[in-house]
Amino acid sequence: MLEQREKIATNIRKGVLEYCVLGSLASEDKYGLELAEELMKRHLTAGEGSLYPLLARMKTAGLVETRWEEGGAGRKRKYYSITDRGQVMLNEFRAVWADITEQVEQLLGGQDGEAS
Amino acid sequence: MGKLAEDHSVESYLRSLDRLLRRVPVEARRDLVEDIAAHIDEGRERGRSDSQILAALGSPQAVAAPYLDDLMQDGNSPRMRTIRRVLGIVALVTGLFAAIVSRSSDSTIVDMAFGPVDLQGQNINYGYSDIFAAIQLLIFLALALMVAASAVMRPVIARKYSFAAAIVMTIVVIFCGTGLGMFFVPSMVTAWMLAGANNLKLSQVHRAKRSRTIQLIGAAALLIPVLFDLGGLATGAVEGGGAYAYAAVGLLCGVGFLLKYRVALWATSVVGAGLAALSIIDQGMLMAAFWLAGITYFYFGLYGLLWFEKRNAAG
Repeated sequence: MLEQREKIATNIRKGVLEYCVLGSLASEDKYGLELAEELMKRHLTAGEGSLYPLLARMKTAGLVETRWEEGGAGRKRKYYSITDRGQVMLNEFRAVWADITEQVEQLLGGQDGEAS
Repeated sequence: MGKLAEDHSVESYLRSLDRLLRRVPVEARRDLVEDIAAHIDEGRERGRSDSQILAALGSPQAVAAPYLDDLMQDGNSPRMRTIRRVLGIVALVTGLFAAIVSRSSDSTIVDMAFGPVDLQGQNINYGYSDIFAAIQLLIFLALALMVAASAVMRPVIARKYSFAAAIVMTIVVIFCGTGLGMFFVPSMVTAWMLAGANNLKLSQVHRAKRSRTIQLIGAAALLIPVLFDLGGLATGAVEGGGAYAYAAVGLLCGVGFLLKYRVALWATSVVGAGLAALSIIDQGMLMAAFWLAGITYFYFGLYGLLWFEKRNAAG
């Protein structure tokens, strides 16, 4: 059953990861590893590496922007921040997500919701 | 390079990621590899071991997957499907057409008016019988079907299949030599165009680069003979209405092709089809000239229509 559970989680994560990134960046600008660690800690992504193609796509779409900042050991770090457009998308997602979770919970709760 | 060594070495991880991305536009490819390299550096600074970092990253295949999926989608877009279908139809029509023209040429080649008598037309004649002629028609059709088939195959299979079909057609052309081989050239060219259209790993950037190359080669192929013709007219070496007509048509098609005007591209392929059709008329060795010139015009025009980016939205 663990395999089934992983499959379901992977499918759902796929749809929401982008907005989780936006949500995380909304509170604070972050660099790649920071973002990756946060998402891994919350089990929102299965691999840290897949975050970077996503960030590149979001940058092309104008949802995030990057800037270089002095990091540790004299190296430059690429920081990601949310754009206005990204903020708009995030708010849209919040509305959709609130609606979906409410509806799904009602539906699942109504049909033998206590069963494991 | 064992699998184990690869899993534990950062360098080979980055190298195999870079290799996987070789069809991805160069900037996106470089950015992703640099991002991952920076990620690894940062991880090391935090005291994570290399194998920990790489395990958390996921396989190079998983990291590259979104880009490779994008490439597949490009290759599977409605526009690409249309191009494949058009080429499939072209393969069938040209195959059938070539069969008809090559049959009509039988009498021509026997009567070829030059060269040692016992060599005349030997390449293609072999003492023709009706059965042989029928078989020849069937061979043409079979090869045309073989080439066209990839237009309706699933993309992943079509890529390998159409490449193989193009190789087969090339061997057929070389094997049949200058006589019969000439009539298989359209199928061969169509086969290679299909192989290109089916190659999903080719990115839009690669395709754009390739179509610029073809634009220059095609313009040269169409315009250089016109220059000879104009030179001939200027010096009086050639004369007559035909030479002027050719200069006009050749210039319009060639310059229009270079400038990527859709009208000119249509004109170029229609002129090509017309020239090739003219070779049905028994004209001795002139037939080969009409045939080959027709193929040149037709395929450069077709290529332009399929691959050149539209000059403006109105076009």
